[in-house]
Amino acid sequence: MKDKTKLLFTLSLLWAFLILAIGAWWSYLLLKGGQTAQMIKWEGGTFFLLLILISGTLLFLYLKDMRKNKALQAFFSSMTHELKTPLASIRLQADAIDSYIKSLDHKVLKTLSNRMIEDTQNLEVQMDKILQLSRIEQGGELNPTVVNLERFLNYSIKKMGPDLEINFNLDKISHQVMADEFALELIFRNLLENTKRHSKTNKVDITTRKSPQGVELSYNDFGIFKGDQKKLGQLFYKYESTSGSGIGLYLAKRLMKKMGGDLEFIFHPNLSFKLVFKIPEAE
Amino acid sequence: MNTNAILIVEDEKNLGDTLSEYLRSIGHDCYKAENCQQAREIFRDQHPSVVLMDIGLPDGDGITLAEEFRNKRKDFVLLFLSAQNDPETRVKGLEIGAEDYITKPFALKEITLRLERILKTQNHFDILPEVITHGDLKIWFKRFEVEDAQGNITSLSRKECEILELLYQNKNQSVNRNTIIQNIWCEERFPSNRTVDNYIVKLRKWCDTDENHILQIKSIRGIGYRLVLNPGEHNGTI
Repeated sequence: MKDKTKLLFTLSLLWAFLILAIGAWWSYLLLKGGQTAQMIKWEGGTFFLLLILISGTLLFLYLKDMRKNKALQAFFSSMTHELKTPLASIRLQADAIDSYIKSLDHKVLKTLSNRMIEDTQNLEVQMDKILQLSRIEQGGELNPTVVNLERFLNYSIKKMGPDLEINFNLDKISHQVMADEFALELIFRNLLENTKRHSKTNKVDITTRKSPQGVELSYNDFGIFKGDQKKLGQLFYKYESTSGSGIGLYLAKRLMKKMGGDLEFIFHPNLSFKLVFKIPEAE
Repeated sequence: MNTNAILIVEDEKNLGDTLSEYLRSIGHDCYKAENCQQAREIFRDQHPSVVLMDIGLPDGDGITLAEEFRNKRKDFVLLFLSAQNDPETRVKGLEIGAEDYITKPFALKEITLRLERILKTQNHFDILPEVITHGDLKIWFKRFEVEDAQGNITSLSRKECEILELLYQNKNQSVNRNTIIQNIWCEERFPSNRTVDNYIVKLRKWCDTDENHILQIKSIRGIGYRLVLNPGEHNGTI
């Protein structure tokens, strides 16, 4: 997104330079005098005036659009933020109900409170995705610290995907990687959410190994992707999917890059993900 | 200090009420403030040992208020509960000595487990002598402070204090890094061995101020650390 803005800005500068160059050349011809000067005076002058008017209008529309985009981003960011407090209250009340009814042994109430907790968790993930996307698009940074990857996987992944069969094939060495804990959790929540939605199996294989680039983590849920491989991971790209927001993989890739690593898509024999983590400098 | 009192500073009424009512129902001595003014009064009158602080408050911000509380007292545990999860605010919160920064929404189980662990450590510190002296070095676990051989008093963070206490309770024995992580950090956090090493650096510097090396923190290659207590003057007073 930033690259596109830079390109647009460079093209605008070139456009402005071209107009000024033509203006200078015509001014030179006018000063030189003669018949050509008379012709340029009227025809060129009108053309030049129109050109400036069009450029001005385009610039005005571009700046207006930029302002609108920024205002929209800020609105979504603050709105999502405002929604988090009532959501926290609902979550807390659902948890409290769940805790109070434990002693009642009421199966229906228990099921309902579990559903309520699950739904608030799903809502929370969606809000976090919007908030992070908005933050990252506005140039926000992460705070990577040294994280024990195996400890994170063993604890968090199992907690996030209780209904999935997750097989770990972890390297014998315990890897220390540079990661922002919150971003790391969001990335894996996205991957697990995709597995639940799109994969026909409920199996996930997670493998870690050291590589020259850092620490590699392979996430394979045996999913099949039939869409445009080049478009996967682009903002709002959803191939034949009516559910989801289309920001998950884009955000996951952006967050991995912000942490000094990368997220790659592997398409053979099936769709899997390769997460490359940066290792701490002295290691 | 009221050893088990918890102060919740939260302006969202339903959230604050639910949390305080639940904590009271499981036996905690809990107080709730909806703004900075109320929080200051409760902090002054009840001397809570744990403060759960929201950041956006109607008459100020939680970080400044927490800083004000920290300047008054060091012996309480501070936890931030906030909907803001940008790294800048999180780092700022942790820099003023918060035990943790919990983002909203959070699970009730998560908060109760952390509180239980904090209060358990607090009670553990309470049964230790008020001051422990080894040569020129002094430790006040309850006050989260140590005095070096030159007489300078330094504040320790809660984690530094807990690590020192763990090593002290197992003095002259090797303590595994994983044991330190499991005992000091809750399971939702994923510190690396290097994180533990960073905490040890400050404690080792403090030990090394004593030229007689009465207390020494030795690295045990591939395992962890050992607090070696060399023969010398020792005095623990309650």
